[in-house]
Amino acid sequence: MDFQVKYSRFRSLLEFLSIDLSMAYRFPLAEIYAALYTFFLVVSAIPQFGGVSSLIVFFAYLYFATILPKFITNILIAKNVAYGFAGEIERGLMQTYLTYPIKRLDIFVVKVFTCILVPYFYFIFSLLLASYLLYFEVFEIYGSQVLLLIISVAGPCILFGAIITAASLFIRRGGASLGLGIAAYFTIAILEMAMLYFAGATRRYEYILALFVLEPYLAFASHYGSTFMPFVHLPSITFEEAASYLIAHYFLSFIVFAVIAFYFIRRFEPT
Amino acid sequence: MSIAECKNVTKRFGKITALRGLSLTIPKNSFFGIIGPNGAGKTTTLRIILGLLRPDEGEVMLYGEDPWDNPRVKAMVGVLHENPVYPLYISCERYLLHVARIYGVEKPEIRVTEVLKLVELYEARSRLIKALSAGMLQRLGLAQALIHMPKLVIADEPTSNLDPLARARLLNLMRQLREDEGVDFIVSSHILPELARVCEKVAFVSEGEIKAAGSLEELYKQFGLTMFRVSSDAPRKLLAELVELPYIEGITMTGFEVLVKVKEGFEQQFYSDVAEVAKKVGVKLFGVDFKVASLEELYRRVIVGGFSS
Repeated sequence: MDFQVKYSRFRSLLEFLSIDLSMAYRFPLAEIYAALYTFFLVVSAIPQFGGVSSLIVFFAYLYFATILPKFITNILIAKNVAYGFAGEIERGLMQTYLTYPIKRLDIFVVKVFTCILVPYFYFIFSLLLASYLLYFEVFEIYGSQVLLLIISVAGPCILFGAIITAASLFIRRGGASLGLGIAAYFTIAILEMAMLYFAGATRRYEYILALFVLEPYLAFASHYGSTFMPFVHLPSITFEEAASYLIAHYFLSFIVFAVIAFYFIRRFEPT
Repeated sequence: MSIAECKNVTKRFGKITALRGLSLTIPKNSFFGIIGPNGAGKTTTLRIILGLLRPDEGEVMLYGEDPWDNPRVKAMVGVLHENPVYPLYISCERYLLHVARIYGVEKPEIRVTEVLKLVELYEARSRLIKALSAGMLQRLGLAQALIHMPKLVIADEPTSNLDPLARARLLNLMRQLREDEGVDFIVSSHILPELARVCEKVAFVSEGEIKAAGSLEELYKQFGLTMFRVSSDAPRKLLAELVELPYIEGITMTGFEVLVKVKEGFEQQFYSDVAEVAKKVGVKLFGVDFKVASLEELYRRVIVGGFSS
């Protein structure tokens, strides 16, 4: 034989990423539409706020303009995880991948990137682009804070992705995982709203502080004194505190992913 | 060093125990068959050797290392599953290029062409995997198993989806790879005539345990399946006389034939004795030849425990 084999972990990872991306986004119509929808929804929100160039107004418009795009992004994440993770386990494709000389951690990282981080990044990119074009002045003055706000708005998508990934690994069926993902999204949203309402009614702010970790944009709302939730009096916190809730939120997502990765590397057996 | 070694491996799936303290050593330079009925634990054994499953108890080594999450060991092995599953919306050639690069094959384009021709898929190289027939998919599976010129190919029921001609072609190809390239094979199957054609060594698995293992020659001897076949005009009469010979270990009759198992080392003596006995009792001999039992007979003897004739 006139050829040689030189194995490289990094090259194998990139090659696997290439296969996975080309399979998951062969016709990325849903993703392109979701990104365009996010962009134009944010753009169309301007007249409602009169184009006032202040960070507080920017924050308020950002929150309201991203409710639906965030929902769509979560559904796309649920779809990707259901078919990219559970569906591949169900079909037997994961078993094929696991026979290749690729570390399990690398397979997991590639799957998380393809299924969750790609939608997350195009969501953030759409928000950044729309915000930059329309709120250029705000961007010039408060660039880093705007970025933090956008990351805080998009953060729950990652946590949701982690939860649905955990469920997919146990359910191992694409369709059932997608159904569970949609149900999980609404359950989490209902619980958050119930907790918010309960906190407002009882005046016990521990619930609010817990919610700041789950939904860090609420922490920033609290900092900027936004009144988009009039039934709840949010405690006043500093920007640094709000940022620390954002870090705690992403750390929580990281912990959930770490637990799933540990299971995938040490115990997961394809069926 | 052996290719693979399982020591007292137990594997449970919920309440079902698939393997019960299975111990097996697969030596190098062999075409090794794992034989057993459906549900015996063949696939589970292969999947544990491949590092896809973790044993609940016991130890598994592949090339002296734990195969679980071990790319170094996996890079030496090619795998062909019973029902191979690959990404559907990609051409055979492109997929094999990806796989070749994952394994770190240099000049992957040349190797892919070579392997596609070897498995007779070159003409269908641009076809999407989704559009392949079951037989073509199996051949693609073999192509991806061979793409990095592995030391070992592990194949689980490799011919199960193939028509008779395709089966013969695949087995010939595997045998050719064994002889020409020195590739070791571990193949599980319950289609015995096929395994008999290619395997040098086998292990019989039943109810999650190894019932017997070794080279076919050893096993035929061990289970008394090497015997003389004596055909005559009066087999019953001949049997009654032959049974008196002191070195006879077993004797039975089937049709006009007497099947005789003799102690090791008495084969030459039996040829002369049988002629004398026949002459003495006036029986006309038609022929005496040494018979090796088929793999099916060995299988029945090992798994079911009964006599074949």
